[in-house]
Amino acid sequence: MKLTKDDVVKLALVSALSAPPIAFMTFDFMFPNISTPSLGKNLMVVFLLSILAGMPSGYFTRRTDLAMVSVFFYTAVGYALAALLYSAPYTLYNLDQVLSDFYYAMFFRFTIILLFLFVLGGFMGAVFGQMVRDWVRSEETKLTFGGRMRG
Amino acid sequence: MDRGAMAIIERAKKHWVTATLYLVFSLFFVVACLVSANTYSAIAQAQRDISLLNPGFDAEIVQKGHLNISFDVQLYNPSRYTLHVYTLSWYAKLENASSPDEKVIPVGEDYVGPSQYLEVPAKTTLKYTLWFEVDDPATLAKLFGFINYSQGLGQSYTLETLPYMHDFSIMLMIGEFEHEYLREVYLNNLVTVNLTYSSEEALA
Repeated sequence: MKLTKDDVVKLALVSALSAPPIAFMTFDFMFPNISTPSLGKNLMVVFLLSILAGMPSGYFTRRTDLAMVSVFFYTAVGYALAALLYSAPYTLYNLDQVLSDFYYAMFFRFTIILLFLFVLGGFMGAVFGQMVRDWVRSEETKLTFGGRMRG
Repeated sequence: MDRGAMAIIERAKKHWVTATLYLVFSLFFVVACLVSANTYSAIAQAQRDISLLNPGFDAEIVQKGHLNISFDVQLYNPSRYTLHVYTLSWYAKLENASSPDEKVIPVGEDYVGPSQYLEVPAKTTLKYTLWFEVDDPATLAKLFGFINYSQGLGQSYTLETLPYMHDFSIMLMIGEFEHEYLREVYLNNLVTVNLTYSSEEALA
């Protein structure tokens, strides 16, 4: 698969839309008692939100392979963002960290399963997004040419 | 601007309702991320800064020759959260070398459980004073026995100057965050502050 510069820009824009929900869901899965609002570690809600987060990939990208790649891309960006939020007290507020290896290992151990949900939900969302786009386009075509065709 | 970006912006303009909905959806999670990370940082800072200050203890003879033993300590809460006292306990004892059977003479104690609903408001320093009146003749007899034993070794003590040991511990819950998880114990620990003071360790 070949990625042009335009495709990369497209990926970046789609990621800007879809990465924040991924980041929040990951952080919330780690700390459901302090995050606002909390999904309460409900995997079904996480999965449904993953589908919603995947929709812009399909809606704004004509190529299916590019839509799939963008799902991987925004999931990676969102997950990295979540790791950044997880480390915020130690990076932004200069708190001393004890056992940093263990600290991050715990994060990956607890949240790695979510990646499967994000990618699976993202694929479903991308397909759904493409279906919505095609449906919108066919409706537009009907509205534009429907009267003329009937006449 | 790049063609890819232009294509997306053109499509977003064309389908502005969908694009706006997704923008709101995304912005909602951006705000949620920032608020949650800020809360986490505030909790981590609270865990670091909440502390016990200026512990002090005293023993004095009161009416009827009873001994009043007391302990006071300040709890410093610079965080933005109210702390809820889950448990608070204090033990005063005397290490007794004179008897091989009873190496510790318990002198006083106090305990506060979660049902008392004690609170430490945000950004305050609260002073706890705990005391116990020793009126049990058996305990007083043991203390006098220790004084007599020490005199034989060249140490002169009174009831008021005996080297009592004080152990204080307090468990606090930060704010109103949920802390009753059964499996995810780390979540309970995240919003729990455990502070202890031991005069034994302070002397060491």
